[in-house]
Amino acid sequence: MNENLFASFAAPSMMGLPIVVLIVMFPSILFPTPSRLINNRLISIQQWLIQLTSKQLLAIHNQKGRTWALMLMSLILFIGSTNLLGLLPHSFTPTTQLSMNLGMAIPLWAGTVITGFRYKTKASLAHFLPQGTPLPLIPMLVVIETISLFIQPMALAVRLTANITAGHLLIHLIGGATLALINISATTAFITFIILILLTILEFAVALIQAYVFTLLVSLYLHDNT
Amino acid sequence: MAGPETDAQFHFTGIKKYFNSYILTGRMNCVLATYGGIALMILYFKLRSKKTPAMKATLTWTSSVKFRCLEKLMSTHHAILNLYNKL
Repeated sequence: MNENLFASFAAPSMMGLPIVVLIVMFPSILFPTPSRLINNRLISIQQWLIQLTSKQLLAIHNQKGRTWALMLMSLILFIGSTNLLGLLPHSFTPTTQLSMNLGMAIPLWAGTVITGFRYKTKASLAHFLPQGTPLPLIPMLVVIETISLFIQPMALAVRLTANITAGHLLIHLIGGATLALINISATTAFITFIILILLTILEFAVALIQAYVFTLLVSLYLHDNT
Repeated sequence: MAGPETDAQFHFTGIKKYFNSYILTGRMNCVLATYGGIALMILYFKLRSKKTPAMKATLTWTSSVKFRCLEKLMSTHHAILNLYNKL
């Protein structure tokens, strides 16, 4: 177990040079560009998955919303692949860094809001006041809705960071506990190992779910504004 | 998001025609009025004078002509005293 539990979340460097950029760019290697009409198995499976996801994500959008198809699909592929690669032992997960997730969430959210204000100014402003609000509550609700709008990108980023970080921390802790218990009690160590296996399966699911949730929320914000 | 706005079903008169929480225009105007009110409050608190009436009275007195004449008289008096002491 690491002497410092958070050592694995530090930005990695090799011979004094930061390699986080290489790590962020690495998942793109796993998605080769299709160059033929009928491709190899890897690309065919990836294309099938992308088609399935894009159909589901973009079904609610109108013409304007569908111009964001490439952005949304790139987002879900990037976050999903980064999260899954982070489950490899001793690897660095970029999505555990709040700075990275804020860097994704804020521009995307701002893009949707600016699009809404630009093309549907009246509806975007009216959105701050729910229909049917009693007169005395109007100022308070407008303030609350404004605050909830500005919290959206923060919630997006913090949700992803917290989920992935918490999962990795738990794996570290339970893995360390399993190792420590081997010499003390083999039975307890075995039970802890089973828990570790189940947790790892859960983390695989969480990695994909968090990617989907992030993209879905961005898609919903876009739908509200187009 | 809610369904399409059915503004036609609402018939308001007077100020409620422009400020209500049912039709799109009414909601927009309420939101803008709230933001305008908040902006005015901020402007008011920023621009209002931070000096108390006592401070204002003191500053008025110290900037007055009478005070300046007194000040000059006192400094002349001190200069004469210093000259006398030297002699």
